[in-house]
Amino acid sequence: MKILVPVKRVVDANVRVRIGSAGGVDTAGLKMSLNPFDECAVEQALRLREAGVASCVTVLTCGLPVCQDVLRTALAMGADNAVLIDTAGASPDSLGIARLLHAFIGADTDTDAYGLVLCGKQAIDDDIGGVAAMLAALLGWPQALNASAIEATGSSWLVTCGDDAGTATWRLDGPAVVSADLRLADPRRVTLPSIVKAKQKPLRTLDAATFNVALDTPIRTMEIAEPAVRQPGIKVADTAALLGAIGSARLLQNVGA
Amino acid sequence: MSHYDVIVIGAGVIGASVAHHVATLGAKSVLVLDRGTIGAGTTSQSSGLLRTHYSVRQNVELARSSWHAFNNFAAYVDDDDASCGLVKCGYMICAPEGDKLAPLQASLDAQQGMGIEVQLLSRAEARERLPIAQFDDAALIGYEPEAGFADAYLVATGFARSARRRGVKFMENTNVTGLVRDGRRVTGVQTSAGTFSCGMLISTQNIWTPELAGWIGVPLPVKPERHTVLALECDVAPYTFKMPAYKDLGSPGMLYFRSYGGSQMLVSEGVVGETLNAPETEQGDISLDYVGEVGEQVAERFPAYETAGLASSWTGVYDVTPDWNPVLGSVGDIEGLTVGFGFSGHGFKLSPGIGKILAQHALGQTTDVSLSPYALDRFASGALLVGKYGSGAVS
Repeated sequence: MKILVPVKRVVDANVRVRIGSAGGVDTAGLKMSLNPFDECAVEQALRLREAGVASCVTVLTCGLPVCQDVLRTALAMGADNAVLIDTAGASPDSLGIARLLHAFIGADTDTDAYGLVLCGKQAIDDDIGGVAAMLAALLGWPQALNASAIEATGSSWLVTCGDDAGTATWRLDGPAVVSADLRLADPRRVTLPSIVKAKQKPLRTLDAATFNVALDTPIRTMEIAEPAVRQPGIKVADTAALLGAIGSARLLQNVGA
Repeated sequence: MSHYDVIVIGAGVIGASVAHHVATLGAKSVLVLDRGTIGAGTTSQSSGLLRTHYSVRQNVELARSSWHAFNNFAAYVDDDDASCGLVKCGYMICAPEGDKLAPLQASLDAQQGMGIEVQLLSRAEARERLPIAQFDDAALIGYEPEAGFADAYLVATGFARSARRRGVKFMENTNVTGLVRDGRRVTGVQTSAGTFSCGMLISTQNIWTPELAGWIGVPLPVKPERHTVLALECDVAPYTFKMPAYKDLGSPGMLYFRSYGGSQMLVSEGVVGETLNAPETEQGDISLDYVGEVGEQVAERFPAYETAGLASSWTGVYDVTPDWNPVLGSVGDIEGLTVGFGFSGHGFKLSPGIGKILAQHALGQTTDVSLSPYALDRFASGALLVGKYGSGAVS
């Protein structure tokens, strides 16, 4: 059984993004990284392979050739092979990406089939988090989102997912789509020898057009704006003035509601 | 319009040091303006190495007085709670046979001539101090016990706190948009928070110095140059705080190393970096290929690091002049203006000394070290302050 880990190249979490003169987010020359949630997914996939559950970990990204650098990072972490689906000029949305992944899995004729798609729960650039659920729907596979633990039991996956409402453990039968939160697995460090080894590993480039799926998006960007500048705080003289200021700013109006 | 004896533009480690020193040297009212927040620009990206090893003699003087300040930081700023985060691990510098050997010998001789404690180590002695490294090719190994590294951000905020205690006003997130002039004399600044007049303006604008050049119409040769720093982790060969910082003149990248957090290795190249088109301190992209190339050089010197992991990586920006040394003092025929820029990767280690002499110059006092070798006109006259090692921050 193979594991497919779809990943995304994003602007590094330590970079303060800015709007460039062209009106979009300016990333020229800035530090780019493998999306941190995807890094957790890669790590968990490697652990499943190392535990003998999976035979092979494939990492895949959709985008321009420059996105190969995050595939190389994943290969250096230990993934077996990588695929770039070159989207050329298209900028597919979550559904477009899910369609490409669906088509890619459908076109795989290997007798050793994909038994798990393990991806990050969201990308830190657009924070949409839509691909996993959309892909599961297209494949007709069970899904578990925001996973903090995963275990293989026979032909099923036991997946622990958590959100503000609590923790649930799901059993997914057969091939499944699981998205990782940061607790799933602490990513290993890329080592110097693995960087060299990663260069020898197979990295295929496929043309998105050959999959014959609709990549046009009904989503239109209306405006991109910097967040509002935080206004400075005020200093008050004593407790009475503090209570007065809190009262007049109506900060506590919803408390107890 | 508010008036100040002295206005300082830039609250990095140099500007904060200037503010501390002008206040202690007698300025009655001082205002410091920063486009962002104190120490948040290039200061926060400094690797923080402290040494007196320089091939340019004037830099040795400044580094020596600065080391004294770092080594006694609480007393220097008269604040028991102040700390510069000093790790006094010593500094080792090493050259193989070849073109770096003679300059190293000359620099070590010059340091000793100036009364700075420098020991020459045998390979065995070097291994004792830095057992994770091999010195098989080392022809000359110098060791400064009074050296190490500190935290540039702590120093900037320490100087700023001292300055505030002495009445200096800091305005953060305030952009200077232009100068107020009376003929050749600078009499104030226009800012996003209004206009302020001053008796003396001190610019410590680092990579943003070209803005000043535009305001005064005098070309100021400085370029932002981005450098990459890696933190490597090797469980079997931790780089501890007891091990000296190390400069490898034999490596192609003239690498420098120090402990990072007491177990990891901080490593960076000491050669020319990537010139940026515009001043910015944002994190630049670091390719895996680059990590691999530097890693290969590291493994030559530190064999166990052949299998090291990349713990983190970041970029920092230098304000580089054509001879990799700063410009200090007055510029052109402009009165009422003192500048300090172009620290070229060695501003932090000189920051206490530089802050003091810029303050002295601005206040019309005799400077501890002559500013004339650092004058802007050296680029026209050709009397450059080029270090013996060529371009690079070791200077």
